[in-house]
Amino acid sequence: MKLKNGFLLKELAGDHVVVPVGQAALDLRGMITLNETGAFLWERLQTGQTEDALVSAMLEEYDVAPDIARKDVRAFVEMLRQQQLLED
Amino acid sequence: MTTIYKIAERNIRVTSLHAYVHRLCGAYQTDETAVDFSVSVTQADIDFEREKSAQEQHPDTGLCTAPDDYLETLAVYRQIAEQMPRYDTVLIHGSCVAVDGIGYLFVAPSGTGKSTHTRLWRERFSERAVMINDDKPLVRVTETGAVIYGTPWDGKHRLSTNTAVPLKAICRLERGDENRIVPMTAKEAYPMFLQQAYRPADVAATEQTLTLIDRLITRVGLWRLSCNMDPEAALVAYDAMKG
Repeated sequence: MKLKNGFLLKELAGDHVVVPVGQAALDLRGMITLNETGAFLWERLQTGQTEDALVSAMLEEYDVAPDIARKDVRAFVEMLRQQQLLED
Repeated sequence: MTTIYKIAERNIRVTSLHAYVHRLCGAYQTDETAVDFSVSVTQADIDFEREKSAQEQHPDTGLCTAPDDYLETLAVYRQIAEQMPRYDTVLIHGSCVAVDGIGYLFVAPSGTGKSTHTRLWRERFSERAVMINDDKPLVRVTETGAVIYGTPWDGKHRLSTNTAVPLKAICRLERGDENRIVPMTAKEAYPMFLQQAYRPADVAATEQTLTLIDRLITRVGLWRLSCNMDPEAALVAYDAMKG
């Protein structure tokens, strides 16, 4: 899975903010605020990833149990899918 | 029709199909011939502005009856705003008044009363107050602060001055029964800037715009004003914002 093009992840006032650009800005005018884990996963999803790869990356970066990491990754990916931010 | 204008310290060659944009920009004409960048309008640009205006201002009918020469002024400013981030400059939708040569910018969605509020400042401070721009000023973010510029795109009352002043503070304006002003944090402020700053179509220009907003919100005062239309509102706001 991979994020659609047309989004910028930037830090504003210490928050991780996703802003649509170009064509994507016509469909979504708002913004998305991510927590630190969300921003970490977002950066990885800019190139193609599997769920297992994301979980491994989480385990390398954060002190977290494998089942929690997998649950977090699934919840985040589900959110992205619902917002139609992933390529099919 | 081609003329060079100096806007926010940049020499811009403007080529248009209609004359009106040149009347609008007349006070900004320059004799300098070295240009920083050029903009040029086509009929397709004008049609794009008509579609956009219809969507934003007449979503019920989807029709926009504005004449081409007016829409062309929007197309010109869009192209200018698209180039400005590379000069550390962003367009922010708001009303800016200067008192004693220091700028104060009020930002809010259309119809909230920005222009009404800055009119109260002009009435209160008379000749000490100068209207920088009532609708679409340009803000250049510097190493230590920000400078705000008058531009010809100055709203329906045509209030602006071809000048530049240091920008001391930016205030989000809300209607209220009483006049009350409180400081705003950068975290509270940035969503407003994302809404009211020009968001370029170009990705690199958008990235630079976001970088500039992040710098801007740490270098100017940020306030939230709840106000009515009494003359006192101007004094309450000024007393807090002048620092």
